[in-house]
Amino acid sequence: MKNILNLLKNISFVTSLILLSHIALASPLYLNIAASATKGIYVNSQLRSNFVENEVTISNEYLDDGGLLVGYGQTFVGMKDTSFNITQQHRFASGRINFWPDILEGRLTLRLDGHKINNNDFTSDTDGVIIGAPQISWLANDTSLYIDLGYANSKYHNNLNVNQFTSTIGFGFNRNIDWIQLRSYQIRGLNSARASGKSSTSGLDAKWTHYFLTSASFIPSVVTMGAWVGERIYAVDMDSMSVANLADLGIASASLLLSWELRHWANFTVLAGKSRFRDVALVNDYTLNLAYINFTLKW
Amino acid sequence: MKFTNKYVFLASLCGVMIFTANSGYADEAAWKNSYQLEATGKYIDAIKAIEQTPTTSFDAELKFLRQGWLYYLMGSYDESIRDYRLAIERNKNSVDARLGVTLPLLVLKRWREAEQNARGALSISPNSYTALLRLAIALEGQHDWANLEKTAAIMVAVYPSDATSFVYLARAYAWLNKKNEAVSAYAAVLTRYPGHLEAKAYLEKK
Repeated sequence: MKNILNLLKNISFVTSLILLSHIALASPLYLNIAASATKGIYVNSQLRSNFVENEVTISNEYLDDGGLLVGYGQTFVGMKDTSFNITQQHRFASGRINFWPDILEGRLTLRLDGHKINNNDFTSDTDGVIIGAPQISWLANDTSLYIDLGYANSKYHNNLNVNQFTSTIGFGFNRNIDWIQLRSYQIRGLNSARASGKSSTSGLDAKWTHYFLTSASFIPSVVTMGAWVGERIYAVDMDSMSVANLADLGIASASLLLSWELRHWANFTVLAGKSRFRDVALVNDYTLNLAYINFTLKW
Repeated sequence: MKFTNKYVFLASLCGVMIFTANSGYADEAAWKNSYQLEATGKYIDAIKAIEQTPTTSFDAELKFLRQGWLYYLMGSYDESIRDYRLAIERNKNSVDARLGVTLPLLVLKRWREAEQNARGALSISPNSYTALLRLAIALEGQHDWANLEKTAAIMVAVYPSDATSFVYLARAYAWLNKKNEAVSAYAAVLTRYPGHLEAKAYLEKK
């Protein structure tokens, strides 16, 4: 009872101080700024040694209605022959708008991404890449089911035009504390001379996300395990806003992501991943081990 | 003289009829019918009963409020939001409309816009219990525990006998790792609502 009385006294004092300031209308605009860094080590690759990537994104959202994101990234790929090291700049933007038509009983989102990539690839094969990627998605009102259809068209120099079709289904279970996402990648129209002998590739990306309902600060709020099976090349990943313009044929991958909600306005994320690639021309299968960190601030 | 009086009388009668039509008295039956249809769960018919109310009439605002509520009851949340927004456009000081629109927004998990409207209602009617409660729900949906704590603190200060206010305060404390304060708040819930399952579950774990 004494604790409750003290609690009430403290609350009354604090309330009188904060009442007016707290009731003020919040801004309808929400701003996010994120910075990330990735470090990768190639194992058993005949051509590549390592890579480093740094990226900054700024996004602005209007209430729950949609928003715009712009980003800039710099990548350095260290080659075994250092005279062929690659330095790359990646500029990208994403806009989305949400609708809630009653007939769909969920949220419909229209999204359009754009990418522009420039690097010092002396062949210019991976330089000057322009990508447009629209996506339409639907999330049920109770957030138990998600579907999307995506398309990406990537224009490369030297006779390479990549068409990517993605279809995704996501569903929740265990009261939506767990979430499974399955995304199919169908990449078509490849110039086989520029695509490890492939005219098309198919593969499946799977992710399992678990949300921890705990206030313990050392336990992450989100854990995601991901895996890839199949083949893909020149893939555009709309979840990570990344483009695999420098990669060989991807044949498998696995990743583990941990994210902490440090405060309502700050998130910290780490990811560790391992990917297998195949350089068909050199008959060289190799592995990329990577570590990624991201820090996001929200207003 | 008799001829003049007759036309003055007819003109006055027309004036009365026009006035009563615009004042809504002639629509009383339609509104009564709408309320009766709502009571029997016939929401679309309840909407149709008042849809002839002119948008220029005095009761147009009430029509939008009522349609917003009826569409919400039907689960047509987008339509509900549209009508509540029309009511807000007509009357920016309408607490009814700002609170009304939070209902479909919260169902759709449009937490930010629900928060905006709840705060808008509070700027007109400070300490409104319903507005504070809707704001608390919106903040909880966004995991904004710090602001939920502030909001719930106001609720328990102004409505000290209300168990729900202490529930939201306790949840905010728990997520902010203020364990002692959470225990006190959940204990306060039980003195106001003995047997409250969430409060008992939390206290039994401590």
